[in-house]
Amino acid sequence: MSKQTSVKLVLLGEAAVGKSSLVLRFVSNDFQENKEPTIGAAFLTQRCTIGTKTIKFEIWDTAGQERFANLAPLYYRNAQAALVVYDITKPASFIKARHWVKELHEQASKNIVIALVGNKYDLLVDPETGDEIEGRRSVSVEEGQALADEEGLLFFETSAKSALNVNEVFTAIGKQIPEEAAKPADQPSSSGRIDLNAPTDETGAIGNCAC
Amino acid sequence: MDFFKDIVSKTQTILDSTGSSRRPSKDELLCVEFRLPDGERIVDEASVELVLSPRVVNGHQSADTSAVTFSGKLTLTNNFLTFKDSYDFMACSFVVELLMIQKIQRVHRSFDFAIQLHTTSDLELTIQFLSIKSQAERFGQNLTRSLKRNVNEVSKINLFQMGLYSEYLLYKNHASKLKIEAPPTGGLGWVFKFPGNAQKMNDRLKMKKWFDFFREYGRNFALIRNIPFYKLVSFGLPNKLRGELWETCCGSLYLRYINCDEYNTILVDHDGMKSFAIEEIEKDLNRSLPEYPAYQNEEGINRLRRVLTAYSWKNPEIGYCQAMNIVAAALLIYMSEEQVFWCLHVLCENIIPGYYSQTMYGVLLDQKVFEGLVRKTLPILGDHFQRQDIQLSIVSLPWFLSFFLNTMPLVFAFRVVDMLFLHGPKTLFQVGLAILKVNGEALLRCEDDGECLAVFKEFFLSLDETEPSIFNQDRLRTKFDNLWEVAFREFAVIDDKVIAQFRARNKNEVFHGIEIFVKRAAVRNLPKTPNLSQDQLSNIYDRYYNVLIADSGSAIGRANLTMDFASFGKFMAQLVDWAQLDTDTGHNGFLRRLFDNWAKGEDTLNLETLVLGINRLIDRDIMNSLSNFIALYDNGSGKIDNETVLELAEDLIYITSPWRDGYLFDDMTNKAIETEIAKKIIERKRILQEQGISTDDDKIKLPQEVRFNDEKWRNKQSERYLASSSNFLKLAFQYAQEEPDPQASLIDLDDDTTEKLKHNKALNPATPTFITASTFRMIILADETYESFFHNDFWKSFHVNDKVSENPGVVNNLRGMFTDFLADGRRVANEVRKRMDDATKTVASSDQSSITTRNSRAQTLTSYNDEDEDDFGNFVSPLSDALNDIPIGAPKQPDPTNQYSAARSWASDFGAALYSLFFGVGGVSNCCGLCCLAARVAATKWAGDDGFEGRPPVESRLDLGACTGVARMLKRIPLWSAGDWRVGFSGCENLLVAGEARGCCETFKEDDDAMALSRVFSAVASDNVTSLLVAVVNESSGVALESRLSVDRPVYPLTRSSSGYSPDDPEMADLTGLISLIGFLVSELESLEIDPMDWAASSSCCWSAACRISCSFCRTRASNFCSASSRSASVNSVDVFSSGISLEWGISGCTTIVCNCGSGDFEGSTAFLSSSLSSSSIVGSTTMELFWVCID
Repeated sequence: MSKQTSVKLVLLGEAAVGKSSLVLRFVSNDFQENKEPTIGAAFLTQRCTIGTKTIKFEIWDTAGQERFANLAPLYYRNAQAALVVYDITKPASFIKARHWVKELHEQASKNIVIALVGNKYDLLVDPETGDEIEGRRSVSVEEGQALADEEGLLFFETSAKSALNVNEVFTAIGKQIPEEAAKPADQPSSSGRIDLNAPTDETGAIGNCAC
Repeated sequence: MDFFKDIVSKTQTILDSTGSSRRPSKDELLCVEFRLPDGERIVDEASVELVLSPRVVNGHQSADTSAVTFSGKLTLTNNFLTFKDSYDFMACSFVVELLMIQKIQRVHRSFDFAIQLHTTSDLELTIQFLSIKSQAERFGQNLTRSLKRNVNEVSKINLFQMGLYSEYLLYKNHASKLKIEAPPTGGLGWVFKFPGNAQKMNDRLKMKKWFDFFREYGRNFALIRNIPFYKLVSFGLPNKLRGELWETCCGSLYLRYINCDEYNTILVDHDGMKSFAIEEIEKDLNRSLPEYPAYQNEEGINRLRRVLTAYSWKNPEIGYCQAMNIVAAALLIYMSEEQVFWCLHVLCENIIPGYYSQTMYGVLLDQKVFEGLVRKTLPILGDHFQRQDIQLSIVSLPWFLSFFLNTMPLVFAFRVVDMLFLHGPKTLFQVGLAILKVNGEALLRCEDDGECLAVFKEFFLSLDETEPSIFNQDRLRTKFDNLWEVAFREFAVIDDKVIAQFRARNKNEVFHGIEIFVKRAAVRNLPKTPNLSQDQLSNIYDRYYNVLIADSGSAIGRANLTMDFASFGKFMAQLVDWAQLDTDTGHNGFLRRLFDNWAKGEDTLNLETLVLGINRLIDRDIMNSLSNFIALYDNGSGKIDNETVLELAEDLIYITSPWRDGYLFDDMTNKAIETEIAKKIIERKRILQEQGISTDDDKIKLPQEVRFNDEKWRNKQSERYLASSSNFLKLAFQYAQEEPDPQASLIDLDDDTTEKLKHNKALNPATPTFITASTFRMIILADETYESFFHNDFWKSFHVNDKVSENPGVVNNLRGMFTDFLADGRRVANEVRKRMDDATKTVASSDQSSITTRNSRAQTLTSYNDEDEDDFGNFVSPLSDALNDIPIGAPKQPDPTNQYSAARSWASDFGAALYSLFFGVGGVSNCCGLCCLAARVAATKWAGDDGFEGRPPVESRLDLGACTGVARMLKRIPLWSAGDWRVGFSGCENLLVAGEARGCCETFKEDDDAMALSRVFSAVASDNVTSLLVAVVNESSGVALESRLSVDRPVYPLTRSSSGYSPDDPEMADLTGLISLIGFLVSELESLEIDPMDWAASSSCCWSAACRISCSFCRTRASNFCSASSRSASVNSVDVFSSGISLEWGISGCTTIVCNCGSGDFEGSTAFLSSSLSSSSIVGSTTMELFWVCID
């Protein structure tokens, strides 16, 4: 039996770190070299089966430029999950990611599931050997992991271009989402709110990924 | 990272936009209406009728056959002639650049005044003036004058016109004389093709239509806008004319003409420069209309880069906003870089101001407006969105930001852009509403934002599909055409006025939202402050900007949002109890020190440094707090030198002033009050029990109304603080360490007392000494009052929990505090219960406590109250009287040992201070400062020393009025520089306290202490400055007392005067004390081998002051005065002069005072004389004189 729940997921992060590309990879398994910057936000959906449950991701892909940060609350409102994305070759984007995590913890839903994602892993990789090239990276895995541990986040390094870890991020989020928190997909979301007091039973929700 | 700066600039933008509610001037309105460049001024205006006659050009009869007349208003500005139909702006209007007027002719008609204008573009306008003839004549003259002035620029504008495609089009078709060899090209479209299918869009036909229009109604710099013009724009502009018509419509054409070099200059000037905006632009260059061939090519990318960078330099406030890349890339297809540059300028400044700003307030506001318009015009849909919690703005924001360029297919989006440049932002609303309307049914089925987005996405992709026309079901039209119809027909009602109304309505809400976000981001990005919570930071943030905004006056000014010292003072005054903004008495040394320390050498503080500073200062851990406090003084060396210790002492006095002055109660006092309450209640219980009434604890309630004797508590607290401040200085110098290479030892003043005075050598500037941070801590911790202050009161004095809206920074009125205190009766009751045991013990032990109290001030505080029953609490209860009459504890007897040591320590302090003075501090002003410090040390020591405990407290201190009197007096002494007033003031103020306290200590003239004092005087006697000090101090005390005593007093009972002290008359006590002091000093002189002459001159004024006081009330109190003084001094001789009574009063052979009493006061003076004579022996020598002027 498969239960379908929908999960509102928001992507946050500095401009040009690859938020839209991650979504495009996840939703269409596609990659565009020069993707137009997102103005305001883009909305996409994707279904994903994790164990016995099917999750419909309602993905809000937000604009990265600093001044659009004003608008972010519109998008992460009621979000159950967030991807905070940075570019592993751009240290400033990591600082920005830190800010976003703080903002989410302060302002978003209480039990929002956040994944920290260091994108553009492909830039580190030698196309011939597939090994990581020394010195290309600006944000170490340890730094990312440390922030994730500190703030209780999922952590991945991805490449939207090579599809590395992209599905894994979403799957991991899907597993983390407490079943009760996710709104049933076929019920009108009249309130759009999540019952934060509902008991969470995480162990039961996690199954094996069949994504 | 520039995040913080960014936040600041965001805030600035908000301020800017909220502050700009100024009504635009008539000139500005005209410029906006006709899209003229800023700065055009109206020269003249006239009511006219414009006659457009049918024209025959090249044998071509134009479509209209009859002349059309429009009546409206003709306006002449510096460079333009404009006209608009007064009935309907759309019907006819024109803008003619004066340079385009080739010929102006007067039409000779008898009945009116009319002129005919010919433009270089063959436009012919007949203008008939409706106004009276003289006005019409004047207008004509103004016009010709303007024409003449501009005449030499004609060639420039001709050259400029040769770059316009409209001119080329006419020349090519032999309709213009302006010779243009090659077709002007501008946009990328000329090379990389224009989007869409030109044939399908009837591009050729449109060109033809425009060609006809240009011939008929002019073009670029001289153009009539009438219905055909609007229609032609609405049909969509032809590719090659699009760029030029855009700039004609929006007015950027004029700007490009006027500022013809600016674009290139900006690029050259900023060549190679870097900026945050450029970084952002670089990220997006490859992502702007990437499907258009030109942007897969260096040429296109470079153009885009140049335009965006140039604009980011042109308008750094905006810099670069995503969406601008798309807009610029789109415009570049039809326009040259320079055209796009000026078009962007007009867009950002006039058409959609605030859309691309740092906060994007413009576009956010317009989303609210849009939502409002949806609810108004499409209520069903509006309700549905509300019910489904669908945030329309999420969907519509990109529409507004990029004019549908990234949502609709480009060909359609450009149609919107055509209208936008001509009609302004209402176009966006109209199109947006139309989109909702035509998709209404589908949208009503949507349940969330996502589904709505899907509907729109599908709709936009199918815009070129055909469907039946909305207005004519028989015809097939594209969806876009239908949309167009709906937008500009049905929603034509949504005009600029409606939008302005909705904007005004939503403005505050939007700005508030932005402000909250900006604040949250700013607060979050502050460094970690363990002592300040987020809420407290938020309060500080509010206060910070509140002060800055208030200080920068209007928000329009580009106020730098950092805090200078003046603003810092105001900020602190709002935040902190002790930093009151009283410029007369304010001591801002401490604030200055904080500011310099926090700003680390900069001129200004920003929020971050401010917050860090406050965080350090309010550490709850007393050890940290003290370390951070001392860090303000030691310059990182861990040592504080002599001078700085003095400053530190001053600062401590400053920051404790609200408690010392009795505006606030500190923790110790509060505890004492609570203990007191507990005691009373226990007592009451005891009585009740004795009366056989049983009580239980629940009945112990704080009475609702309790009268406190504020005055008493206040005084006690003051004394504690004064004592602590002097104690601090004493100990600081006592424990000061010498630098490794000590100077020769100090002069031994007296072998016997070397031991006693030794520690004071620290005050010798010749021996540089310092105290360390740990010494400082030790001293503070050793002092109960200061310890408690740093432990409980200092950090509380920062009102970080107060919101700005709450009454800011006014030191709470003491009574108000009491009210609060008592209003929370339950709390107090609990406290009371907690303390009951302690209080019982205190009562039990109070009899024995007097001897040991020197080292246990808390107990002292409790026992203080024992003698004064009505100082606290008239309980509103039947038993209150009985309760208040119960004696609690026995009054303590003064302990001579205590007083003895107190006096000694006072003397040594005073000595030390004066001693330091004696050792040549350079300038006079410095001297004065030190004088006062010394005086203060002496005074506070005297006033607050434990030696006086157990005595009835001084009932009232001199009030501010008296102190003002002192200040006024001091001003008369020329030696004092203005800067010393403040210091001097406080010095004297404290001496007054000393005088009062002295009144309580009649016995203070015993051997050893007196000897110590004498030695001090002997050390300083020859020094004039010291004399001055004594004089000043005494005189001012006198004046102060005098001013106080000049008020009518009840007759003082003579019988009680012999004691020299009466608790019933505090003023009397003050006075007596002062007199005793004077007497004492003089008697000390007796034992010194000083040439009395040294004292004479300098001291005279001081004696006069003292005597004047006496005189002012001598009628009733002379005998009291006399008896008081006679105990400490002996009256030597009395003479009676004819003018009144003169009293020659020699004190032990060294001083004689001559007192002149006015004749009017004969009776009193006689009484005075007789009483003084009766208690003194007469000595002959007269070395000092003093004139005693009777005030009465």
